[in-house]
Amino acid sequence: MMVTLQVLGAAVTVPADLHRRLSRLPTTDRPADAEVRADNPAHALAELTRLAVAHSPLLCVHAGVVSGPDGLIAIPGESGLGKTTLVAALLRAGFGYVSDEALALDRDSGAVTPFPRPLSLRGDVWPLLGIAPAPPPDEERLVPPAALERAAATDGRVRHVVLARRVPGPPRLAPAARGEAVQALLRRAFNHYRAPEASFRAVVAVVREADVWTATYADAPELAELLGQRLRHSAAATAAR
Amino acid sequence: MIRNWWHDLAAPYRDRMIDYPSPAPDVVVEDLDEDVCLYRADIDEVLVLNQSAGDVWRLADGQRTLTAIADQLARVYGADEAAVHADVRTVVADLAARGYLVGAASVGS
Repeated sequence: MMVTLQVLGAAVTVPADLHRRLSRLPTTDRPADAEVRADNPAHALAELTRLAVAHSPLLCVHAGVVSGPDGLIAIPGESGLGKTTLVAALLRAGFGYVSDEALALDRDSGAVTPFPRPLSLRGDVWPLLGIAPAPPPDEERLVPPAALERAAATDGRVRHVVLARRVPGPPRLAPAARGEAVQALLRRAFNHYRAPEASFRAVVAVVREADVWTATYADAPELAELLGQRLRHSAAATAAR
Repeated sequence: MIRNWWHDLAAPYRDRMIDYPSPAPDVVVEDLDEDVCLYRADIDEVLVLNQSAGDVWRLADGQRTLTAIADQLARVYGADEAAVHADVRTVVADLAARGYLVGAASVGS
């Protein structure tokens, strides 16, 4: 797909590695042209993501994805639920970056294609994540993953699905039924309509191999810490068997 | 009184409506642990059946009557027959109403 990108705003600096990151968008299955005009890099990124997903032959599910001790962790969720902030906190806690936006799955093999675009984070969460200098609290800036990651992403299959929601109180993590994950992933698929039956079967196959968790949290770094502890423990137990 | 009257009058029709249930043609089925996942692409809906509802689904092959399904499950579970019959009737009626099961319910109504 040929995309002409025109960022109209000059106030925000485009991260140096934006082009490299965008070049790893999921591959397209047919030629198409598009022209993106946006007033800042965050809007340009959102539009490019929409185009990439629309033309991707992969099953793309709205989810944050990180790599952990024993495989990939998928966190399905819509925009505005704090998914990117949680993914950023997981990177600070030692998880590897795969995507803050899309779980891109091969319907046949279940293989995951990374979609490591820059993370768009509001200024008010920068201090929580320990990154500086923070922009004004209500201003979103693109953050290169390298600024957050403490460990490189590893390849692997989805080993955990975390159904997260924000509620007041300390973070909690509990095992959940796999059926819930099937519903959550398919409900948040961008493009399953292109091959509905194959998409459903692909999602079930992924969930069949995964542990499913429900997570509630108010503070993303706290949940990231809890997930890190729990999944390291789970991986160690699996390795010992 | 009214309820009993309705119950008695409707019983033969209700039983006939949900007899010989079988999966609707376009339902995609995947087992997931003890659960059963059903998908209808036409309405883009996933339905997850727990183990007991899944057992009903697995026996709803168009060859067994509702009574035969309930009898078989009552034997397997070692449970009260009347309770199992009522549960099976509820599950089948619900799945038929949602379009996942067909049979006499759709053909005859």
